[in-house]
Amino acid sequence: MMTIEQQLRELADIPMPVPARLAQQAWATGRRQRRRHARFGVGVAVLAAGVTLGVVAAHPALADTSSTSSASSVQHLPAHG
Amino acid sequence: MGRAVDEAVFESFVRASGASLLRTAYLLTGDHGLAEDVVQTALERTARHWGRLSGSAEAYTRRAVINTAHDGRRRRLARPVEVHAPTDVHQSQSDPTSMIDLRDALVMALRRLPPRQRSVVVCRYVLDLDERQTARELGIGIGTVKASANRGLAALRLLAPKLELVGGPGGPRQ
Repeated sequence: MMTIEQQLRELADIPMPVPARLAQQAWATGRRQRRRHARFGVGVAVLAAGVTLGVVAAHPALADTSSTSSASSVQHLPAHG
Repeated sequence: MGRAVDEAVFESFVRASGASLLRTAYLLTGDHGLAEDVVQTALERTARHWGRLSGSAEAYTRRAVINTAHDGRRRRLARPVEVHAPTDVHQSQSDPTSMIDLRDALVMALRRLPPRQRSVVVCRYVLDLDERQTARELGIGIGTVKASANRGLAALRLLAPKLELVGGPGGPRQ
């Protein structure tokens, strides 16, 4: 008499033919998806750079890194004594 | 590693593990065509991350197979349930085809288990993983594995009570 557990173990011997082109198709699709993801990443980076440049063009003061707020405020302080 | 070498290694991985992955998918879905789709999707995911996988490619793909089979089941829930005529394994046990009938009856009974119980039963008894490996594979606790395995086996005994009366390849062994 075989128990359910033994019969389940026998299922591991079911012959399962693997389609011939399974690996090639999966590899080709996987690579295409990887490229698409990479292109999406580049697209997002370009978009972010464009937005940054746009904001800086609209507000040139943001690009002026020579005068920090603390430095300019110190310059305009009235002199005492 | 070059792209051609990567592809060759991937192909040899599929040659070595494809049958086992397909079998797992078949036992989880109960349908050959669906099992092939599930394995194809899982292998595409593996191929996408090939070269960046940490750990065994087979374990990674098996997890993808289990998740894809469950996702597919969720999508198919809206469809009407297919009804299969139960196989009378008792009548055919002296027949040379009885083992195939028996196997089909067991696969059909497996298909009627809830997804988690089915996955646990397949991992524990068909793939022969221990409780810790099964828990890791399915992302659940060891206690849940034990409980699901017990409930799954009990349900299988109820769903296919005659299965335990039938013997191995030589016929009945009562």
